[in-house]
Amino acid sequence: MATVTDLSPAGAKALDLHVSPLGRVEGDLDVRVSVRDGVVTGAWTEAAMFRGFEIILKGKDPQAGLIVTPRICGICGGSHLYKAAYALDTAWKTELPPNATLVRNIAQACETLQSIPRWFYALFAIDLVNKNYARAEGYDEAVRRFAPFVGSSYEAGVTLSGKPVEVYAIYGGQWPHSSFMIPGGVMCGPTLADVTRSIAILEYWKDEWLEKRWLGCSVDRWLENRSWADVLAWVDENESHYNSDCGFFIRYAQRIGLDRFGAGFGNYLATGTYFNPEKYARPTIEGRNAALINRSGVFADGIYYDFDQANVREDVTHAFYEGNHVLHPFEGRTEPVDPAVGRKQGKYTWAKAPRYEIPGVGAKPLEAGPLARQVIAGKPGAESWQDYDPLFHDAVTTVGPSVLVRVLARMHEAPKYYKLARRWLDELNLHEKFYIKPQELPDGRGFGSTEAARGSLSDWIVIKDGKIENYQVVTPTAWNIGPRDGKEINGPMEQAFVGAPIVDPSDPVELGHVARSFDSCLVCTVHAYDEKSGRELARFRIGEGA
Amino acid sequence: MKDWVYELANQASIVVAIGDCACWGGIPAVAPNPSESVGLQYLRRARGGFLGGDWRSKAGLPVINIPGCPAHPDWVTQILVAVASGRAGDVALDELQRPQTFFKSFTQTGCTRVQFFEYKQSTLEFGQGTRTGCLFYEFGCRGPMTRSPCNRILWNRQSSKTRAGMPCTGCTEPEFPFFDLAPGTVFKTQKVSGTIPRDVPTGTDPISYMALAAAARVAAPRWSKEDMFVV
Repeated sequence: MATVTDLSPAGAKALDLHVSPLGRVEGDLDVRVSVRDGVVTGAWTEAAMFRGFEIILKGKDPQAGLIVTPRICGICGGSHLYKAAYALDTAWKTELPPNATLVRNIAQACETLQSIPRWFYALFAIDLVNKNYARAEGYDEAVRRFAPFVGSSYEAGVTLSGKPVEVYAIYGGQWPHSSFMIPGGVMCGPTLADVTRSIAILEYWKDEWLEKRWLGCSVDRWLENRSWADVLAWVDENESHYNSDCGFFIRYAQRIGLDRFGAGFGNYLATGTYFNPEKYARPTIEGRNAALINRSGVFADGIYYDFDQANVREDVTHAFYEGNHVLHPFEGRTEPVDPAVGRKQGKYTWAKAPRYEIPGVGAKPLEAGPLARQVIAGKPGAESWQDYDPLFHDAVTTVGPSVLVRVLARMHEAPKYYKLARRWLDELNLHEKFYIKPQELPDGRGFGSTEAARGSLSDWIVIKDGKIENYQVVTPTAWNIGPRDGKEINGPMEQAFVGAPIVDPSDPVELGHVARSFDSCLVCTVHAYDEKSGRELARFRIGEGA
Repeated sequence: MKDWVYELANQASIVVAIGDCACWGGIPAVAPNPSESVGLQYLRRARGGFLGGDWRSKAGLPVINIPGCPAHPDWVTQILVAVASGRAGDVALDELQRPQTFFKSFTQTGCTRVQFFEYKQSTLEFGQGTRTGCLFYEFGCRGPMTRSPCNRILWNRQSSKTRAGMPCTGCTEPEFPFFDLAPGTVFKTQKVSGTIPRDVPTGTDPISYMALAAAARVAAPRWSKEDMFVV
């Protein structure tokens, strides 16, 4: 809902917008935005829900995270399981047979392949048919394709998004909320038909959605695009590209200006995902970076750095937790305070502010997600088993980050992960082991991490006397929507709002684009009100929630 | 938020709780329940909950509970269609207000491992080991004690946890996650005297169950000790 007041001091348009969403995915996030002269000048993100999963895990069975953490999110449950399993693998010093690594990789990839079209059609593209764009060239075509429920691509895109997780269910029994990845491997012992059926399902999804509807070309042709100029040239290469959902989206997004706002800091974090089975047969925290297929890394102020989990901090200065400490997650504390009390101390959200301490530079807020991953993919020095892909490093250094670039980075992962998942299916050796029983050590520390569809997702576990001493989860949504830190530096999404133009303050669809380009758990209603009087001026919705 | 739920519930002719959190608190209500979570008409197995045990909707019905973590989309849509098409009267509820059409049968009903259960043949390890045997004896599978149609209505049109080698965790029951995830309880069958399962299949008692098990082991054919789900 939105209310708007014109403060108009000295002729300048000054507004305070309050975005109070009911999530299209889940969770509640409020965004308060100040606007001057039609441009966003400041933003405060307020996560409104506290669930206390880290508190629940204290004192429980070491493997409790395999059951509890997937339930943190209904759409990233497989990613939660993946990193929770690796946290235990590193703590218990397990040995993983190659098949186990491959099945985990396949499952993680399939969850993300599900998320890509589901996110695009069900969560993002429905804003493209907002009435604010009714006069834009191509609007009728956008409505024809993307209108919720009735668009020609909407129903097919959403329905076909369910296919990759059918593959997940073949190995995990169900998606979401399986717990089939366990220290030492996976619970399943797949048979021949499990693999052949998986191949058939993935091929069907690739043919019917990825190539036929989204790309209008082969996966391999798309992956020849190595720069932003290549992408723009690809659109005009032939009618099939030009009229595909991807080609149309790139053209329409430029017309409505999605290439011109939503930049953010331009600083990125990937903790990486997917492991080379030979390189990570004995998972350790120290050996993780070298074993990754999709690499980890930090890109800040134009410079690449190696990722080291020891440099992660969580700052609670502005979060509803005791104190104003800045702690590494192994020492992390989750001690809630009453929001009414917290607000008097300048606290305004339930999300902690994750920061990355770059040696010699200092603590940085970093954007997580597909764009971050694809920028890190351009980092020099990839080993033969690692992904090197210069496309989005080129994009952020030539045209710069924007809503359009962030969206395309996500979509670019569909052909990449499809190819990986197909290859891993071919590499499964059905006559070898899928599990090696580990020793359940009573004490240990573990770190597990992955790239959920929406970004870096990590667990830190401390096991003592056979039970969980401390469990800390840092989600991509926390990286992105976390608040200001003790130095009053914005969180990444707060920063991305800054500079966004608000054409119609009674329907600031631009805020929805920025928020949804991060694919966090938020936003479907907006209210805007007078900063001083609080008087309501207008109410509206920016798209119906799914 | 609580005000919305209360106001909406009292406006609705029928209220359906979807998932464990809405039914009985679910994972957030695990000790120490830091968010003070509660279901609409239950907190775990205790009647009461947010609306109170005696609450009734405008149509005179208690909350219809569709539990599970998650609830299967088919359970949700079929019940909603039943209600919307005037068949609320056909939705017979059990003592936990779950539709019996889905929650009378057990997770084990339709499980591909029932023949191993019949002859008391255990799976010995995860992974390759799950190509044979039943997960009830060693890995904490709650399939024989859990009411759900997980092996009648498959997940993602493909499989179920028990078919894929993962023990049922009993997520359609209000005690889920069982034993409050105490150390030593995850994916491990809780036993009395080191051998007898602490929880025996619903409706049996430990002594008669152990008698049946002893006879079944004697009768076990050779194939019940071999891989059935072979490459």
